[in-house]
Amino acid sequence: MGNEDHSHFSGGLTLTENDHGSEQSALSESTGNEQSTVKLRVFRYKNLPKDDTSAPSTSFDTFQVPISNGTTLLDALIYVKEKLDPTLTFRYSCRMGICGSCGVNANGKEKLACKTQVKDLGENIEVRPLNNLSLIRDLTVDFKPFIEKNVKVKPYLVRNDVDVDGGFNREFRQTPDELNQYLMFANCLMCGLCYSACPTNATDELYLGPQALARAYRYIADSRDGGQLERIEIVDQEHAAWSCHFAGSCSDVCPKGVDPAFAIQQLKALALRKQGLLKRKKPSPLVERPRESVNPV
Amino acid sequence: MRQSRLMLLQYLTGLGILALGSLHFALLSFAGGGYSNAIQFASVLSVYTTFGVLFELFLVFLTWHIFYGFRRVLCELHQGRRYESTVTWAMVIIGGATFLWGTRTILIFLGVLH
Ligand code: SF4
Ligand code: FES
Repeated sequence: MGNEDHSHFSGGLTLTENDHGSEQSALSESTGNEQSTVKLRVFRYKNLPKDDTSAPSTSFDTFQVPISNGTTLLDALIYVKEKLDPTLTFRYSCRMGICGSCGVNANGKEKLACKTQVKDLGENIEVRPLNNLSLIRDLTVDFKPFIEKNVKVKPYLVRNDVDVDGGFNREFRQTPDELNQYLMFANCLMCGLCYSACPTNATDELYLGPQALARAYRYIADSRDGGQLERIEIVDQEHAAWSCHFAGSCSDVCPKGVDPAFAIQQLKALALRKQGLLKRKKPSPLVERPRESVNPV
Repeated sequence: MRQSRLMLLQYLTGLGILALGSLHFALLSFAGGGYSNAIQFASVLSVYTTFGVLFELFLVFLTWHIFYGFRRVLCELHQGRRYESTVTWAMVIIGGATFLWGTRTILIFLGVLH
């Protein structure tokens, strides 16, 4: 493993470049198809104590990683961790685009590492953590503000007529058309890619962000929900829907095809209508129980 | 106040500026038959005195649009309760002074003030 140090300064932080060679591995043996190598330049960050000046807190490490057809960016990162540098830190869980935990910035664009083919990124790949969230270590960022903003918009069905807490075990009536009103927005994984890509989030740390706003719209558009006025009240404040400048980068990077930019414009329209025209919608009724229930509750 | 109200005002004043600005441009360029006549001192003054009320409206639209817009830009660049209230008050004071100075000018060309 050859290490080379090129220290330079960037934005007041010392950045170091380290080169790590590859070890031909089981990665290619297991797939058995044509193999090549890519250069993975990975952002590194250590949260050192303030008085520790022995090493720079941020750096880039470069790794040579063998790839073959089907190698994902997450496979490449796991390869680095298993074979070249066990200290590399990143999040993942499902490896199939479902849990939303493996979001990174690859070659300047937000992606789910497990859903991204390395071959689509070229031979030189730069991997950075998501933007607009504070760093924990290497590629992991702190999602706390992101989650808190999601909670602010009441991401659950609000019903004032029935108690949906605890042992609630009934269904609300909903037609396929009503389902389609919000289905796209219900696909959100909470991966945070949109939050990282959003230019408003970059300067306004109080801005709710595309995910939370799309989540608010998801429930407002749900025929079973009765909390639309409360939610419009929340999104019709400063640092919320009206701070969106419609850059559209959130919708561009979303790995699940959610369109937060559209949802935010819908929220603005609803907030304007609320000035007088919008009435509290009547949420859909409960589905009646079958007369002779096999398993009565 | 709710953001939608403030933003509605922002959009409406924007449209008002577009409409009155175009009128202003048209009057000052072509009133009195052609550009060379329109820029004569007397015809400029007559436009000003005839449309004084519209100028005042134009000033209202401009003052709101510029200073509320500027406040929003500043509050997107930096946050904090104290910072935001300082920016708000700064915009109210500077905007208010601009409006008063503009009104004074309009009243002077209308002959109300000397
Ligand atoms: S809207 Fe898309 S990009 Fe944003 S958190 Fe949800 S799944 Fe991720
Ligand atoms: S590891 Fe779960 S979405 Fe990538």
